[in-house]
Amino acid sequence: MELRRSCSKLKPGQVAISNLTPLNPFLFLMILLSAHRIFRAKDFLLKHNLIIALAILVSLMIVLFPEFLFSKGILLSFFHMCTILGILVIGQSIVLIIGGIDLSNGSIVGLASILGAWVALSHGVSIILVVTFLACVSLGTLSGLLITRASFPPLIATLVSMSIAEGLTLTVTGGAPLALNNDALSWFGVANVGGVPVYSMIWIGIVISLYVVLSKTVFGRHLYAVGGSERTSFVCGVDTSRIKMMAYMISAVLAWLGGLIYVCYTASGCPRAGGFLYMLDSISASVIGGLSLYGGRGNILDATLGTMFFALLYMMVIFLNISPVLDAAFRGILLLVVVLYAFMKEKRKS
Amino acid sequence: MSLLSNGKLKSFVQEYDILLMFAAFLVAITAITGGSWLSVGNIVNVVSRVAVLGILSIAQCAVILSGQMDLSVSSCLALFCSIYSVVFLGGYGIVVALTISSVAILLIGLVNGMFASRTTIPAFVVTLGTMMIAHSMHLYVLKVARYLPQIQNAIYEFMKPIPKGGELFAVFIWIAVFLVVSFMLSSTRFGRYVYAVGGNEKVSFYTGVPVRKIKFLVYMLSSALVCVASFVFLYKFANIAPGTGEWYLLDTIAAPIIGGVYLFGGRGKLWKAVMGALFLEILINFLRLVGVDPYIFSAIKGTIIAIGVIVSILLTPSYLRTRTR
Repeated sequence: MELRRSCSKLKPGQVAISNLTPLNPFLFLMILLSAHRIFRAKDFLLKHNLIIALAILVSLMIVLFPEFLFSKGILLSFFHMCTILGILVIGQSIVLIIGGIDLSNGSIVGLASILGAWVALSHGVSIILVVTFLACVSLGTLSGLLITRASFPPLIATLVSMSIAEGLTLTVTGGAPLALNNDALSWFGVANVGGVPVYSMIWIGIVISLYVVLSKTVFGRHLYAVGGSERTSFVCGVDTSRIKMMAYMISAVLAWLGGLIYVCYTASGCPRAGGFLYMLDSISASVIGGLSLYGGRGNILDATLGTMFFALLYMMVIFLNISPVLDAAFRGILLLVVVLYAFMKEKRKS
Repeated sequence: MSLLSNGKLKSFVQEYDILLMFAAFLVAITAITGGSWLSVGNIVNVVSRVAVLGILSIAQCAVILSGQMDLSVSSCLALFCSIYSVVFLGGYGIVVALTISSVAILLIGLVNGMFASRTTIPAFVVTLGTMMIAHSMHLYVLKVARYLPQIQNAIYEFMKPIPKGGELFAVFIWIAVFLVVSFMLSSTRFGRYVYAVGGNEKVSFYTGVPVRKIKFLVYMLSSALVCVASFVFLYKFANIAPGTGEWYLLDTIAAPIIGGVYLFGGRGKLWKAVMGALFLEILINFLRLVGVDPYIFSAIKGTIIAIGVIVSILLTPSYLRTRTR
């Protein structure tokens, strides 16, 4: 009885030597070993829960819909669902890592798409990159300035730039979508190599390069430091204002890229392209990917896995023929479940 | 001079800044529009329009005072209106329709409250989730019903026999709600607990304030107020369509901020949120009168929120300034 009680308190890597009785060392060792094994399995499950969930989801899809394995169209649409969301998720992750939140990224997608299409129609394709980039980055800079210089809470600062982006988006064309007829842009939207669209390769490139930046460079470590404790990192000599500024600007730049990809894929600009749903999804997918809403934790690769999980779930919703009207409810429930799960996990750890 | 040296003038300005701004604003727009703004018809119109936003921002203000946030208010309004209209058209009478739709909204408040009281998940994430759920349910109810024009007509027919001055009924409800909630917040134990929880959750927990219960009750209060606001909305606008009420989301948060209610709870008065709502609605009315492109309104509102926050940060005494998320 005594023994069992002492074993139940064990944590991985912890050996309760004080409870070792000379009478049954063998029995104790066996229990210790098996307990260790159990803990290891549990650790493994907890650590790689996302990969396991992904594997379960993929196999479920294959069992339910065998055509999932072979169709090139399905692969294409999977990548399409991943790409824009995935790019936004990277930006959102970086902002979450420094302990902020970005509500404006969805609206910046809308602004980039409508502005891009409008510029392409009225002034030619050549300056589209410059104009849209300037507009989007200035919004990111605005959030950054409000947060660092005027000590705004990130929630309100990004809400401000979100509403400004929404207003500009509607003003450009008076709320009407614009159709494009441009071969270069359309080629970029549909070109693919063996079922992997070209723009998805950009996404993958960004994921890899930013992962390296975040894990191997000083800048990346500073991001985590600011998220972990802003005060401590400030005292240690990190330029916290600059780091925070950069994070919001990176998020805006990535949202800009997402908007341009949207323009190419649909060959049109739409004021309702981005908006609330993208923003919501980018937060949920990051949290699924293990980023803490309190900052300082998580990495981009996991967030990308979270994005893929999300995209697969949506494909499943489509495959199961669930009404699109219920889509938002599905997303909301998913968000609640995910944050609840993350909360439980944190609680168990502490 | 003695006023200045005692700091009384400064504290007076700090206390009534929204009122002073509001007065200056009214004078300015009256001057710009050359008095056409001041017509009785326009004022009645604005004040009765603002009733819905006013009640919603009272709800939001109560939640903000307790240190939380409720993004689901506007979608709950849409959900209430759609369930109410569908049940009412099904021939079940007002009482049943009101009960069912109120129960639905209170259920969403229950979910919000449970999350807020049992977990430490940021309130805006939880209410973002319930907002999406409510929004989607609202679309689903309207889609299942499939007879939107009939709904519109029936609501209109039902609301038509209201007499000419009936518009002011909405204003009376608004004032009543304001008096009740402001009494609750300023003169009851519940109200003091709300301020305590918003001011410092940990300290109030250690001093024996039932923090969890208060957080839960605040969300239930917010849901109940949303039910009232939705009824006023139906009464005033006699209209329900997909996406109804979406535009209130930003405004309900903007109104307390403009009024100078501290966004992280514990400081601020209810009347300031109401003044903020009035300010916002009159500003929009003024922009319409002047002929500004309505598509840019959202950007203007965002800028005003930014100015409001900057002013409130500048007016906050430095020892009260905290860096919070």
